[in-house]
Amino acid sequence: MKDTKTTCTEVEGLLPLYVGGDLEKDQLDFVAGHLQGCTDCAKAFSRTREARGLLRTELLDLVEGREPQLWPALREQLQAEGLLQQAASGVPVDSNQSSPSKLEPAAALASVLAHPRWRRTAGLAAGIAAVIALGKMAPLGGDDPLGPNDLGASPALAEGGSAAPKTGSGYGGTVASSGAVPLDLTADSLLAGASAPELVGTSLDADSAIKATVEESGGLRPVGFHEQSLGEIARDNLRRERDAGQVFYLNVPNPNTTRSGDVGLVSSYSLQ
Amino acid sequence: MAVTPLKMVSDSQNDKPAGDSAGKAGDFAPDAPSRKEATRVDHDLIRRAQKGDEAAFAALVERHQKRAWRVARNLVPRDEDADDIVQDAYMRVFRSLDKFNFDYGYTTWLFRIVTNLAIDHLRKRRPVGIGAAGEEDENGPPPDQEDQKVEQPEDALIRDEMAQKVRACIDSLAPHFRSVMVLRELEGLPCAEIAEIVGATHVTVRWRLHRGRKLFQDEWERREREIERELLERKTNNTDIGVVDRGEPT
Repeated sequence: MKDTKTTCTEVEGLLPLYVGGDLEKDQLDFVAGHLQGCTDCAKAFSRTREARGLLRTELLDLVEGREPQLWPALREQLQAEGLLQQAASGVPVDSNQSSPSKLEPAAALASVLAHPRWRRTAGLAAGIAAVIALGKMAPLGGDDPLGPNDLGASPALAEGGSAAPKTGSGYGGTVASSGAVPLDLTADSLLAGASAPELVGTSLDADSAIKATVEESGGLRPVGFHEQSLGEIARDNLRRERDAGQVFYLNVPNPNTTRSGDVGLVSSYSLQ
Repeated sequence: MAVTPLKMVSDSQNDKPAGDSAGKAGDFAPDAPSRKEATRVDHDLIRRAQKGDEAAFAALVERHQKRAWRVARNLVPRDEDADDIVQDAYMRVFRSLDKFNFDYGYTTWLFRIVTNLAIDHLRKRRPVGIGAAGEEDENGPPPDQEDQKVEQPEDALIRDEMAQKVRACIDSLAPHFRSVMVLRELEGLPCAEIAEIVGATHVTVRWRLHRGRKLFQDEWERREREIERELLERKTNNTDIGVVDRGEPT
């Protein structure tokens, strides 16, 4: 039985998602029930709601009443480049971009894991490999899910050579440090008391690899979701939850600067 | 561009935390049947455009240009930047139409291009978290000062100040947080679709949403405390000055 303080801490951690209705049904009910009987948490929720209201108001106000008319200028540019004429004549417009990836899924994932970034995060790669080795997932899907890969900044898989070349700086920078990291609990390195920063070394490639291997297969079922000190996560809960046969995604703001006392977000999933 | 008055989104539109909005896309995204129909129309237009039908592509542009522009504009500092980004996005769409995968929604693809271009734009323009100091010479005034050309009545100024403070908090967020929040809070897209747009897992999207809202609230409350502290100091100083003044000979 949880004490009141623990429950309040949990609820406050969930408020940023609760305020937008972004929690699972059971969590929504849990928070709603708690707020009815806890004045402190109700006040905290009131502040969260106010902040979200300000945010949304500004987002809406900035664009309110704007009706951009882009087609004339766009048509002019298409004509200037001869693209409209080319299309009208029935000649396919050459985008000078590579076609969507047709690599075999496993090859696509292999190319991701072969990337230098992965080699630098060997512990994480081991975790990924272990996830794959579980063999409980559906076949891999290596293609970009959205079809054409001319995406301005290419999807993360592009760095592994399986999709279109990057046309911009892409997600190689700060985003790469904020991805979700799967913590496969069968990987020895994750259970040997490694420090939290080692556990959460990440890149956006990790997202894509896991997306390709697990999520798109529909092989995961959400189990839980909570914020926690990385030190606690590393030392206690992951070990405990491992026995339940779950896979975890651990998110941290920036693994390059994260310390074990920082708070990360753990989402646990069971393999179906 | 004049800053529009700040007004709070009503509760019915803004805050439906428990139960009533669970798992839903939000207040702005079309419901599932509407979305399905919209996707069908988009795909039909794409097929026609692939055969060289200019009018079909024009219709495709006009159907979604407003939403694409709204997303871009909330990620970049100026109207003109948003114009350029959306136009660039549509050029890329046109060039890649033949490769479009009809298993997926067109708007997901469009938003993906737009958000990626906007994030690239932000990164090229300036590092996140760096103040606008020094940018004025090359790029004109910083965004917070761009819309101050027209003198406003006092109440409007107060609202504008408020809006600027809120915008400053939004701008303090890293691009990958901001893009997720714009897609969720402005466009009302479900996390699963946002995940496809930003090329991340839905877990990561929820994390960014969670963290983005938290960071925004923390930043907002930090600034509010700062203002209160300054007001208190000013009041204290005025009181001190008052004591001195009373002692001065006239």
